[in-house]
Amino acid sequence: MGVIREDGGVAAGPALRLAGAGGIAPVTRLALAVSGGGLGLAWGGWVAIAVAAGGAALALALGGARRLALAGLGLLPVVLSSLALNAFLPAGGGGVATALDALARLLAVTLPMTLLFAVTPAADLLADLEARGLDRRAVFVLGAALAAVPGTRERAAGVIEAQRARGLDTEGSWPRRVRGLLPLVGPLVIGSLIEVEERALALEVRAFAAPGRRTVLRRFPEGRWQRAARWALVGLLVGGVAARVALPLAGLPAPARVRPW
Amino acid sequence: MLVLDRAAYRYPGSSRWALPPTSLEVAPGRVVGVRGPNESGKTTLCLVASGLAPVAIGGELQGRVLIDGRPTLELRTDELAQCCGLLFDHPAAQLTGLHRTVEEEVAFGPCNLGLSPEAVVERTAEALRLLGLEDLAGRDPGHLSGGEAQLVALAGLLALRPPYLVLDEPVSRLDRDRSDRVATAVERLAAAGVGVLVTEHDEGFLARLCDAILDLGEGR
Amino acid sequence: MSPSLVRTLVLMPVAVALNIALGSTVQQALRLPIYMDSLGTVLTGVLGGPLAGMATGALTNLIWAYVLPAPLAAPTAGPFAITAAVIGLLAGAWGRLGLFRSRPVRDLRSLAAALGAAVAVAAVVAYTFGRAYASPRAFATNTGFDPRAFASSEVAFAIVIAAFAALAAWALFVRRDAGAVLALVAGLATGLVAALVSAPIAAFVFGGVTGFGGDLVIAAFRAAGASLYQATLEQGLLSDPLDKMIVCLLAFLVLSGLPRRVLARFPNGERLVESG
Repeated sequence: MGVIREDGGVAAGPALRLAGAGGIAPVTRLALAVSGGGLGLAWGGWVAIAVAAGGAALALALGGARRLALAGLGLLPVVLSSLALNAFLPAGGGGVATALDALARLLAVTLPMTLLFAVTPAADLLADLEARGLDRRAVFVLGAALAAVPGTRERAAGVIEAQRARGLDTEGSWPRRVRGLLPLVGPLVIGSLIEVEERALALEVRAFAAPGRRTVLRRFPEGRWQRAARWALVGLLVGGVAARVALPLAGLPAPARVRPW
Repeated sequence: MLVLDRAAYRYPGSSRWALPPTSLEVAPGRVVGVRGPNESGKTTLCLVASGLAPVAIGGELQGRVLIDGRPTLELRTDELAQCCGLLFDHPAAQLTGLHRTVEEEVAFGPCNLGLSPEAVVERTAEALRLLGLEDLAGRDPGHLSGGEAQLVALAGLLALRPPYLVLDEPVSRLDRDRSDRVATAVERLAAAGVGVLVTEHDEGFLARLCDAILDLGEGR
Repeated sequence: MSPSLVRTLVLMPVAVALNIALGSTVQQALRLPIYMDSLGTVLTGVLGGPLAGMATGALTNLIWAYVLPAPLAAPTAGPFAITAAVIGLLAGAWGRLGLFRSRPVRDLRSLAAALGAAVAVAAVVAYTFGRAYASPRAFATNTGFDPRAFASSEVAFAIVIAAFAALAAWALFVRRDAGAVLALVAGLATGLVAALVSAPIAAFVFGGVTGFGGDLVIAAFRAAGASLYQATLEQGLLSDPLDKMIVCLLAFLVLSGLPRRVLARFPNGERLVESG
């Protein structure tokens, strides 16, 4: 484990892992994803398409294309549903243009965020956020939530198996399945809640509740331009959303919908 | 000195005294063992001795529990953690599951205190060395055997450098080999001046380590 | 940081994982038209307060949509993080008001309170229905919706009220706990608010569909003449109250089965335990 001191020297331990992908700090990537998604969501139309396309291009360059493609597949049912509904039943405000506009927004929100976590380990992002001042409570909750998902799903599968062995019917008519709700949900939830007490104690004995700032061991050094870039992105997001909101107030027409024809 | 002076405890919302009035003393460098049947209050005794009961879990304490003269009731949980470490009987609950390497897991405690990075690295290395765990430093804590996990959990406590340790049935789930490692570790700790209170079923373990053995369920 | 706060901080990630497990593994096993992915959020809100509930809800959806790898990832959940946060916020409010406390029927005062609440809800609904939906024309003028959507709204309302009545009856006569009725009321209210919050999101980001099975229902409403927003809202008003009533009832049943010792250590725990 290595530690980079303020003067840039390294204290003890093996080499430190730095941010990959061209040395862009995780927090900067987060700023990029959020501002892109936010602007695309607010403006729709060509802005959204540009953000989505930019995300896709970056994914190809950085190797996150597969995950993006899978995300796209996850969106496919919604997209098809939306297109079908709006094409065939456009009553009152529908129409293919609406569907396409919504699709553009959806992609603008989904692709950058998915790409972010495809190329950035969540642990790195958390470490970077903590180094820059994120409270230890938030860091804990975010990290623990991610860590808890696989185990809880396994436990759920275990409870289902156990209850099935005891005669629980999950294949029958819907009233029988409804009766299966409490026997499945009950043990799972109660088990989780009782675990909370022990885990809370485990944190206490490691001085988690100590006041003041925690020590952060992993740092992601960056050039000064990244800090400026982050502020610029935040400014762009705030300004862009404000402008979009102000448009109708100022009596100006909304941006034109995207029409492929 | 870790002192229990006629300490009795009952859990919140319970009318039964889970720990009857108990007195004992653990001096620095000494190992005191406690044995008793199940449900005799061994785990409760561990929680009371470490101060977590009632400070962290509520409930009612009668009598006094003092760590180097300071009543546990007057300490915060992070102060207690630095005075007296508590090892649970199953490591699965004690490891945080938040870290990718054993080294980072052990460093969790010192990091929480906000020590300088150099101090954190030093304490972590020291804790691993004391327990002979240097070769595990880069391993994933989620993929350790029961015995290794127990030792890593102990290292995590030691990184806070508490002068006293309370071990709740530390080897009940371990095989002979791992039990020996833990026993050796406890011997080293006592030699280094740490006062240890350990509850256990394993008579051999207690006989090897303890300067004094208490029976819960008898009078004081 | 107090011990009860530490407990809440530990509860939140556990609840997030619970939400995802219920909404994926358990939901796939039972294949019922309820999502159950807000149960953890409701529990956290009731036990830990509104902020904890909000954070749990939002975090569940954001993690599920963007952080988890495929095939587990559900990117459609992302934009609905707002709805999830609102559900958690409301659960915190209901918890503070003591709506999830067990009140055995033998306690006449509790029984009266529960019956009173049920009657009040029924009265409000009947009044709303009467004023807004007395006729298709009244419906149109009072809600701004297309009069052709009137008939389908009637059906939606009827189904929701019938479900509420059935569950309340079960609570009072089988379970003999008046507190369950209050939990159902909380669920109904939460479901209504959730539908109202979700509809604009579905319209804006998804082109007026929700991405789940309910799209067939939406299609039906659209065919009957409802607009993009109306149809999504009507589908939501049908499914969300049902889903949230069941989730709140489940939360209530689970909480009533926990020992007082476990509940009392959470920030809001005292309000869940019977006084005395």
